[in-house]
Amino acid sequence: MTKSAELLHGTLDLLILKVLCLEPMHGWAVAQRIHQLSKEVLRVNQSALYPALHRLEHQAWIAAEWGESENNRRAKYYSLTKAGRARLEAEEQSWDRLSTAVKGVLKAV
Amino acid sequence: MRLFQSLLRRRRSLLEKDTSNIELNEELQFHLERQTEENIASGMSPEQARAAAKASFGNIAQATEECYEARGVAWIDDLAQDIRYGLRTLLKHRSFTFVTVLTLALGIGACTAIFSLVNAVLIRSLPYGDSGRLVYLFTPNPHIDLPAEVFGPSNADFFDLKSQSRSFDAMTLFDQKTYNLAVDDRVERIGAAKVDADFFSTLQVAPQLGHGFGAKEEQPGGDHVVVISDALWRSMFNGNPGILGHTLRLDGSSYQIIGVMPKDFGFPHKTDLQYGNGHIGTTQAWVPSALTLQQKMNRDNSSGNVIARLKSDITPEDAQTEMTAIMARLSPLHQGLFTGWTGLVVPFRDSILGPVRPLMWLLLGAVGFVLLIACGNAANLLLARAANRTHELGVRATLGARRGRLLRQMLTESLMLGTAAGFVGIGLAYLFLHALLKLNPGNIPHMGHAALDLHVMVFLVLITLLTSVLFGVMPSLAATRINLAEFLNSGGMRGVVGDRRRIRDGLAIAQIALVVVLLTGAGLFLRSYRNVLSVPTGFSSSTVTMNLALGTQYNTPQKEKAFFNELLNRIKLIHGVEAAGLVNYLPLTNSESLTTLWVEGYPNKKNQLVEGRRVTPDYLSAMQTPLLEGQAFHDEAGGPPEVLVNQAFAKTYLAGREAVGSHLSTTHNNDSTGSINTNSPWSTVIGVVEDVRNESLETAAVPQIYVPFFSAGQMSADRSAYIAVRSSLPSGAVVSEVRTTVRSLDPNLAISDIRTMGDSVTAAIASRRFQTILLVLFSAIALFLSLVGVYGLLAYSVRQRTGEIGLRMALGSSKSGVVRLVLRQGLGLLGIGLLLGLAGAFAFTRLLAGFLYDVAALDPVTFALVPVLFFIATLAACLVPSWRAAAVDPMTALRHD
Repeated sequence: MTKSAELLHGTLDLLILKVLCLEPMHGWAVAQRIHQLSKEVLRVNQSALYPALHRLEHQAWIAAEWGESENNRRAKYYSLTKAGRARLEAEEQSWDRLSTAVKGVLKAV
Repeated sequence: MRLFQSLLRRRRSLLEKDTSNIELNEELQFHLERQTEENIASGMSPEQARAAAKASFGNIAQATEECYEARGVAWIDDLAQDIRYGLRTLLKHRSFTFVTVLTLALGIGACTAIFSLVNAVLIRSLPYGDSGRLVYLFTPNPHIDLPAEVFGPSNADFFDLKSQSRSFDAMTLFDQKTYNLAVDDRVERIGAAKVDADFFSTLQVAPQLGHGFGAKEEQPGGDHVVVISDALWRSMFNGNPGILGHTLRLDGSSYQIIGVMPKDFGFPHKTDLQYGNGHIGTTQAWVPSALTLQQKMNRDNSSGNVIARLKSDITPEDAQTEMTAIMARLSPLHQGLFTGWTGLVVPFRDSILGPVRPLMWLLLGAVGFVLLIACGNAANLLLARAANRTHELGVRATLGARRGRLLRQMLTESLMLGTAAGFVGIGLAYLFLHALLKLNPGNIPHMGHAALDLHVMVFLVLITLLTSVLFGVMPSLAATRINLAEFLNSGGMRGVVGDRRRIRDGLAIAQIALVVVLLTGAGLFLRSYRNVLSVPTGFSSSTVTMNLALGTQYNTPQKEKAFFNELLNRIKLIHGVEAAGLVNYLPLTNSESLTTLWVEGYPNKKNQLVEGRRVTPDYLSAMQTPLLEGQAFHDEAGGPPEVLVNQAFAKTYLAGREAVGSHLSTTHNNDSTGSINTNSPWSTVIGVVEDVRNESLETAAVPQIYVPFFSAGQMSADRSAYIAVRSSLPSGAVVSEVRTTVRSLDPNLAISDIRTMGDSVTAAIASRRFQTILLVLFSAIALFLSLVGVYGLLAYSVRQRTGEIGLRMALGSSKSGVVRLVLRQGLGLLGIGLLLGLAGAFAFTRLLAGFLYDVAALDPVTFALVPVLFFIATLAACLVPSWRAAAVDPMTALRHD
């Protein structure tokens, strides 16, 4: 992960919630999906990913369940809860506001 | 719901910590393998793939730890661990724990007890509605040299103020009075108040049973009704709920009970009125004043008091402005000698709390010092232990404990110590408070209500937390500042860290300085107390005194004189009685009469006043007040009026002349021309008596005169007099003899206020004794704590320097050399502390000036004695560790560490 692509503090949670809103997936897949969707710009450091997943689980925004992985191994699958969905919406909106605001400033000056 | 789930999850994680750790491990492992597979798929060899996966993952241990913390159970788990660990170490070091807890508990207990007092007196609200809006109204006269609070409005002024003012929601006029209350076959004296219809509504207190006074009861003739206190109701009528309609006998007349006031209502208390009736501690009964029209029109000053409730949008200053304007209109209506009556509005709270506020602050300050010293001690003990724990903490830091974690553990330990101290402190506070209430000097409002209530408990918890942080933070910071490289280089040896000694020395010095300040204050108080005790009072402390008020049937001067003369004659016949006399106001009763004074041959001022007392011939002999010149009154004073004066009078008005034989007039109508009204007879001074401390022991005597008790057909105020009896009998025997004598003359009469003059002196100095005892007690605690502190510091330092001491001895140092080494350290601290303390005392004791009597705030004796005494005490604390150091066996010492 290059310096420039370092995630803004707090945005990792948003990305995890967003990725999980499509379908339940395990940690590795979450990291991969973020990597792909960001056109390989963002690379999530695993030592940040798992604490974040556990934190979100603790806050009851995502739920975890053990399941079978694509390579027939036991893996922990995370899925978005109802509260998580609401949270995602709120986070998306605030992110929109923030990025519009930042863009506005950048264009104006 | 979220919170609930979250808690549930947290609990689950705690319980299933091992399972969840295994699961976490599995999850991370899966990630690694999946990454490895991916890497292989992209063409790496399996080894390369695994290594790359690991590299991209980062620190697995860290991730594990962070996941663990993210689950939000870390702190609970840590806390439990810290508490378990803390308990183990504290129990292991029992003497350390014991001394620390006791030290803190002393400080916390003392602080809590004093706070409960301050809470009862200053903080807890008074039970009279919004008591912040209550004000006293006075009508002082600046031409009369008396405190403004002496002058309650006259009846006519009161009614005019009431009708003309717009500042008040309500105002009431009341007067104090004592009654003889018939209880079974005995007679008791009780304090009562004569009040108008607005009294209870102004104070916003309603009777718990029955009702107060209305217009009907305030009609002259309808006034034989009474409202009684809860205490009287319970003691006399066992709290009978059907009491209304029963009667009481007051001064021989029947009064119908129409109401019972709630518990704790006893307004006016002794402390509510600065110049009230000193006999009345708590008011037990209220009767209607039922003023006649003529009484209502009377503009002469009376002993009435006025309390009023301000309207909600009116400040005391607004009310003052209005009252000044009204009194300017009313003043010309006053007849008599004086003109220029003014108005004064004093907030009720200020009036009753003003005099005790400085004492409360003083006590809080002193006890705060004690608490600080206790904290210093605890901090020092913790620091000493922290130094011993360098090894343990170093090892833990090497094994990966972060500083925050170590800090948290140290603070948990100090909180545990603090909590234990808080619990012991509750017990100590309870004991302290009981002792305090025993010392109640009687002039501190609501002191009797001091209790360990919720307020006080909250305070205790707060100061416990505060002290735990105060004494715990510094040692924790110092102990956890571990330089790992240094620690490892020292081979994990028990290192001695130099800068910690500086902190400890600083703490000890601060403690010593605080103690010196406290001791100096206590010294000044003790000297003041001694000075007050040795004041020449002008009377004998063994004289027995009592008050007797006659019933309404003694309504002429002749009847009164006949009764009292017969009584005195019978008392003098009692075997063992040496002298007996009457006086209208005893010394130290806060009452006297003032009369105008005109002295022949003296440049008299207009409206000159003098204190006067009416006495029978043997009164001065009964009091053993020496006659210095001339002669005393004769038994039958039929001739020209005679008067006795005191020394102060002779010095002021008769300086440079023969006092005996001079003339003065007390009925002299002195107008500005100074012409003498021929109707006013001159009195001749026939003798000079020694000064008597009448007002208080701490106030020097002012000019006073004594006139014959039964002079010129005067009646005494409410037909009462004090009887003073000097005898060789024990005071109890005197009292019972006099009581029998009084009853044999009139069974409806009761003697009251029975005490020796010594008791009066004790009561008069009670508040000084109270503050002196407390300050001395706090200083003693502080001294004890600081000695423990100094001793602990030196003992610890000797233990730490055992190796060095052994080396010195091995190299030939003598035992006395070693003693000197330790002593030098101790005395160095002591010296600096003493100097700082004296400087502090120099600054602080000025604040005490108002509390001192006949001692300068910078009293040289105190300032010299305190350091000497303190030095001796501390020397003892230094010597023990020094001797212990000298007893060190060099061989053992060298093997130490």
